[in-house]
Amino acid sequence: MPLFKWVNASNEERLVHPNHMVYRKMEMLVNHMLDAEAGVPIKTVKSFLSKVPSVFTGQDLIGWIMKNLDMTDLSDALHLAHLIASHGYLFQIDDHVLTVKNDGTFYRFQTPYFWPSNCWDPENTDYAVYLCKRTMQNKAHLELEDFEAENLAKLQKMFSRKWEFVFMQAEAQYKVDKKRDRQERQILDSQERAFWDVHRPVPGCVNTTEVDFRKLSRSGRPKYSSGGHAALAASTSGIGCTQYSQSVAAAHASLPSTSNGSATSPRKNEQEPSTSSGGESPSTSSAAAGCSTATTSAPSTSTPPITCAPSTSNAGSFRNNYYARPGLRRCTQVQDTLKLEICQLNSRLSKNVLRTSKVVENYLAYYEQRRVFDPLLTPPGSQADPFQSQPNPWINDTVDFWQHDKITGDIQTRRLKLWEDSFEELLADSLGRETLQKFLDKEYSGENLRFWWEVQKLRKCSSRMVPVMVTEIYNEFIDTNAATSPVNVDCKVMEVTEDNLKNPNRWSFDEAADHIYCLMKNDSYQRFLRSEIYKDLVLQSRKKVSHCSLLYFASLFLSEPPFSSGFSLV
Amino acid sequence: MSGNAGESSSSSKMVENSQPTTTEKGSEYLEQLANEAEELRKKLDQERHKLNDIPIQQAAERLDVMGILGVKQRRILKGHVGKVLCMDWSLDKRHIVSSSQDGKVIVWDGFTTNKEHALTMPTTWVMACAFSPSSQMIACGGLDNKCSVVPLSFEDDIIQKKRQVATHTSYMSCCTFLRSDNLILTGSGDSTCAIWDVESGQLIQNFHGHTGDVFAIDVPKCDTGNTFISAGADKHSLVWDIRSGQCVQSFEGHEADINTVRFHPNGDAFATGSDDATCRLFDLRADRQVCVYEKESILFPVNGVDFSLSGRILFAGYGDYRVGVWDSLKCVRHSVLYGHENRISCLRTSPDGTAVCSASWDCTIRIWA
Repeated sequence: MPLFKWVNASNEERLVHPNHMVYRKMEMLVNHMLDAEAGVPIKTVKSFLSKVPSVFTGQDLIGWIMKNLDMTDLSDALHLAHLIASHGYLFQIDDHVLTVKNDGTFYRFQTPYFWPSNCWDPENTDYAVYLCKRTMQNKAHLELEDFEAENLAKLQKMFSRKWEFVFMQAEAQYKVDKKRDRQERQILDSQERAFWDVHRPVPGCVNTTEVDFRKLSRSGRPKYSSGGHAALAASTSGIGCTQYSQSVAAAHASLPSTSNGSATSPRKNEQEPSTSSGGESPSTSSAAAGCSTATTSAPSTSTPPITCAPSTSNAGSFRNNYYARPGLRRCTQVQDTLKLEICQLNSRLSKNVLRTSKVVENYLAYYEQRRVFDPLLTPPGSQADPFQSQPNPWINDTVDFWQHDKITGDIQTRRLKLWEDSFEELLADSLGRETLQKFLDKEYSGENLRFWWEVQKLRKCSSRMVPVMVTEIYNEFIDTNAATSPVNVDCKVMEVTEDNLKNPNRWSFDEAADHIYCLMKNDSYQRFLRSEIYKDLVLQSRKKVSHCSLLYFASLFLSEPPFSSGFSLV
Repeated sequence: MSGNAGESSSSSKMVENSQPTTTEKGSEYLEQLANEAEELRKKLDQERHKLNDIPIQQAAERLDVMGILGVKQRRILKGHVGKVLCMDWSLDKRHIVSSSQDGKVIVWDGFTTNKEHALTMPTTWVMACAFSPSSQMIACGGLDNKCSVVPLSFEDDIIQKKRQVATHTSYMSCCTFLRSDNLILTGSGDSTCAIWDVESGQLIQNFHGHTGDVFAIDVPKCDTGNTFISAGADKHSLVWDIRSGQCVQSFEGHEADINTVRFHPNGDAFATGSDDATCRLFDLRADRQVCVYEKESILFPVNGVDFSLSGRILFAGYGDYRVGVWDSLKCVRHSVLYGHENRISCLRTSPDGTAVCSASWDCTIRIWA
């Protein structure tokens, strides 16, 4: 039964279709829908002179989805139905567009044989045969649509040399079809049509069979095997689910109209890494372990051995478990990697870890504090906005919200409040840093912030500048005898720093900078918030806020004590 | 751990490749070590389980339900003719860079929806692009296995100034500037991440440890840390120490590829989105998964996640063309944003939190606020 093909395939997970998760979930759902008792009611409907077999209405389908998936929103259910249809699991009986309407229109289920999980990726020749067959069928409802006629013409040009062959095949199929029972034929015709509507969709419709290029790596794309590229593709194609890995190009060029040039280029590029990585660094080969399912089936791969350590089959079984575990740098000896892992596990065990309740409390506190700054939760300028900022630029089409400070020369209240709430935010804001610098200079401790800032610059400077900046920082702030403006770090941190400087790099002063950061945060920052400089800024920005909003402001600050700390109310 | 079933087949390969010079003693020793590791792992699971005292929904019970947000589509950027695969905000809060499957990279003024620069890369599937912090430069790359930087200016033809900075042995899936225009962090299908010096193209640090393609990376907003996270096809999210190149924490839970990862604005947690149709919240201080955002009727992969400025709202861009708006603390889906007509490939909140931007295979980029 083709329906369960994916189950077998999942044993070799890397050989399945990139969309298999979605297909699997949808098929589970469709199987429920097909249930004779609890499923969607399927009936045969009489119309004028004939009967329409095995159909159901859009209403019934939507109703079923709402009831069985516990949905309250109609548009949610409609969207899901549309997706199931666009993947070709059900289709409207007389329309090429794969969508679902919530009315009395008739729909039919696709036969599992044609489900996309069977990894069809049909060839253009098949499409040509199908279209050719349709022209023979001489029936009003089977007449080619405009886009199909166009496609047929293109294909005829493309296959002009073997058109005779296409025609013969179509004729043979047509003869077989004719022998079938009338109703059976009616159903089959519609299902075949729906199949091609999925794989060669009407222009403007989404082709749901397209795959994410990145995901092809999971499907036996032989990207790390150095030898036997072609042989590999041949050997895996036998497994059935991997045809598309060979015809990646076809997946991208779904219609013959797409130019061949663009379709082949990804394929060409794809081969590039496989040849260039031809067995050198251990890192690449270890990555190959991830895709080794594909390489096992290849008769001869010259991928370098991942590890040189000896092993019995018994040892191999647990080593495999080990290799499945990401997060470790690989060593040449298995025992070294295992030791490393044990070491890592031990350190994780000894680490102090927070309880969930504590963690959630942290999120809640963060949310409570930042709620008023979140433009999506507290729209700027709305009743709820304590800062009475300019409105959200995206909604009101004015850039005042962004330009306010530049135009008025003042600092927005929300910005000042953020400085008060968090030292990180103050330092992250260039204006905040400047203001703090002014304050610190007054206090004769400006070198602290300047040192910290220089270290931040060093951490992210270009490699060429590292030695220069290390020397500069050392000479200006650290050198115990000759520094021009020495920073006050304790001897322990100084020791570490001196030690770091034996091998100077962009992180040499991190410990010292962290130390200074804590000093500033616990000491200077608190004084800064109580300083005249900061208070003046607050006062200035508040004057601009209109009178009525000030009242609102006041009420907010009175009702919520955590906010009132830095703002003295007039 | 049912999701790991597929790994078993890789064992045969290990055995085949190993040398037959086995000494009994060696294998016993190995087994002993492996058992020890296994025991520790079990113990760790138990310990972590014990600390999971109450579910997040319960802890956040006292919180009011989020009201109507009024988030709607405010802008649509049209101009790509192929699937848009990636986008990034400029720190000026209004410019956007985007890259697409047909090899085009476009710089937009999102506010006016004007295109300011457009360049054609020599490759298809440009899977990653990024704005530099100074907004003077962009980085992009993809199937060419390279990361190129292009300085932005209106004076000359900017494509002439394009420079290659990084080279991987497989496609580059994600890139971001590391807090300055001087350093760039890349993730690749060769299962490594790396930091490069933009000026010289020199490799500063590489990060080995993933066992599958790396699909996403993120750097915390806070300037002082020395870590970043990465995630990918091995279903794990790894936290790295930039200085040592070592993985310092690893998180599991997803049942399929992780496509996207984003720090919580507090820098102590991160959200991931995966092919298993769930988003998850992991906490660094709790050292484990704290929440799963899932729904029976959601079947499609998550390709982009990001938080609102306060961390309360989690936006998730799905393969079912929609953006899910989740209440990250109550763990319920608040609402859904309709608009895109094909899979969403990327989603990001703007630097000041005023808008959310999504890129899609329907060739458009949409800005929601």
